[in-house]
Amino acid sequence: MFNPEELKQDFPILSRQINGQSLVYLDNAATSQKPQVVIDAISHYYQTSNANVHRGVHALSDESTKLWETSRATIATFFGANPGELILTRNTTEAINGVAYGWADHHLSASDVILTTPMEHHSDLVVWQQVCQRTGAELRFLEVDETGRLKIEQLEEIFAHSDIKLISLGLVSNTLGTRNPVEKIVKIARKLRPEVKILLDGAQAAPHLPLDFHELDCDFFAFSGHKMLGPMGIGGLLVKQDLLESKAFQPWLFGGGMIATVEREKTEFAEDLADRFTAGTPDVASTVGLAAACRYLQQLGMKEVAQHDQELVQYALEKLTQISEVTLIGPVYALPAQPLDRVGSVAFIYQGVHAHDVAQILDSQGVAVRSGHHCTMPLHTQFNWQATVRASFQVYNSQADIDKLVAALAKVKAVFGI
Amino acid sequence: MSDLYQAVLLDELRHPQHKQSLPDPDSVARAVNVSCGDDLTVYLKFSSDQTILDIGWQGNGCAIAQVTMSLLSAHIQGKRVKDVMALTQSDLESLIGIKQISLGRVKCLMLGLEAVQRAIQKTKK
Ligand SMILES: Cc1ncc(COP(=O)(O)O)c(C=O)c1O
Repeated sequence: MFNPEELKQDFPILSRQINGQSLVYLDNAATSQKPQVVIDAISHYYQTSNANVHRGVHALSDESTKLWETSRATIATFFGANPGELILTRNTTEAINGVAYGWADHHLSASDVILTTPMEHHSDLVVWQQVCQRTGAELRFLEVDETGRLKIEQLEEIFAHSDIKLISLGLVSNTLGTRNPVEKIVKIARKLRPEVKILLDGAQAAPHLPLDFHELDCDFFAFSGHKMLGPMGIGGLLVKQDLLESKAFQPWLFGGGMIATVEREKTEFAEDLADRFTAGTPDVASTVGLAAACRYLQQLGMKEVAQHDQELVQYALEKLTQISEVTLIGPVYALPAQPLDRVGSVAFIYQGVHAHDVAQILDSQGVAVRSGHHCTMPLHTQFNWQATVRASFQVYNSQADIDKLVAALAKVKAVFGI
Repeated sequence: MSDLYQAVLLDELRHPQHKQSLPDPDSVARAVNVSCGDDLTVYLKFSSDQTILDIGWQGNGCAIAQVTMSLLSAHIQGKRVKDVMALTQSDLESLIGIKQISLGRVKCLMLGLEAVQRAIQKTKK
């Protein structure tokens, strides 16, 4: 098992002082910090191998193309997918939009239903609202209970009354931290309606959990590189190979690179899957950087990464429940005979002090957390939360960081004289 | 940063000025900061000589939003409408005694003024 305090040394930014204090970075669900190996991989690419891919016969272009292809393979393999199943995007948001334009727009019409949940990030909600406007399909919700868990027992009933064509939900909620029972949902869906398509928003799962695209048995999986130690501007959409090969899933960006032959009036798209979904010059440097991040995580071992996260979540819950002003949101206790279904973060309300004020005082103590609605406004409205404070974790966070969070919260109490 | 939460501001938070709705206002306007759920409603009464006769406000939000709203209310009572329309971010910063608010809190600082100016503009239409 790795030692998070030692890992801190791999992340140059973590040695910064903030407001005269050592930085305690607990805003990882927004974006993670980057290890030196990732930073080096990007600058090394520009220093030694930069050239456009697939476009030249010269040595550098060859080298760049090879780097791009091996990096793509590393990223796909990290998720247990074939390289052909990986479509590189800028982030999760773009990946989800890709499913809207590349699949939903071609296959949905009035009377079809898209099923999602009220805990989705706006990225996995606004996109479907737009698809519904374009296609006439209807959006329905699998509801969430007061403990922050999906009412999965209602799923069969919803299936009985609606023509569900697509289910789209987060594997891990960025606000509640809930690790949703997607395996159960996939199983029920496949049994009741084999043709239903399932999209998993993996933005908050990819950084913390060992994942296997084929085992998850979803059709689409979206993720952001920047939340999993990779650079900003690169993420991906995994699409099941048969949907690509049958052309049920179509390209949604057009232009150079994604073509086989172009005539004046029409175009044949490339048969090669990676090419068909790479319109225009790709961000090779970020792809190389993300591959370096995948290797870094693989070296730690994703099982260990997950275990470390669980220890931090448990420890944070234990400590925070001891503060009487703190009300935690999302799963706090384990379900009978099951481990705690919370991953990556703990969010809470501090009684009597607005989340922004809490975050500001924590910042004055060098502790960086998120405050606000975390891009889940419908969830905040449903539970009548104005705003919440969220501490979220990464491999370099330790129990000592959580102790510092707790100490900084005492400062909130002191300042506000509660 | 620490000056953001100095005792006098927190006292203002606990005992806000003008925090009530006005009966029969000449104008009412609301400003909402979606990023944090801050929500302020301002009630204005004008005198015939284009000054603010009375102001009231209600709502909730972070300390910055509420304290600024409170101090702003006291500040603009009796002021000319024209001068209130000309108030800027730096005026509000000096009002609450902060050199420069951090980027992430600008919206909180400006919310009350936004509501006030919106209420004034409504009457002009
Ligand atoms: C669950 C979830 N989905 C989607 C996103 C959007 O990610 P990005 O902004 O990288 O597209 C986020 C980011 O916060 C998220 O937490």
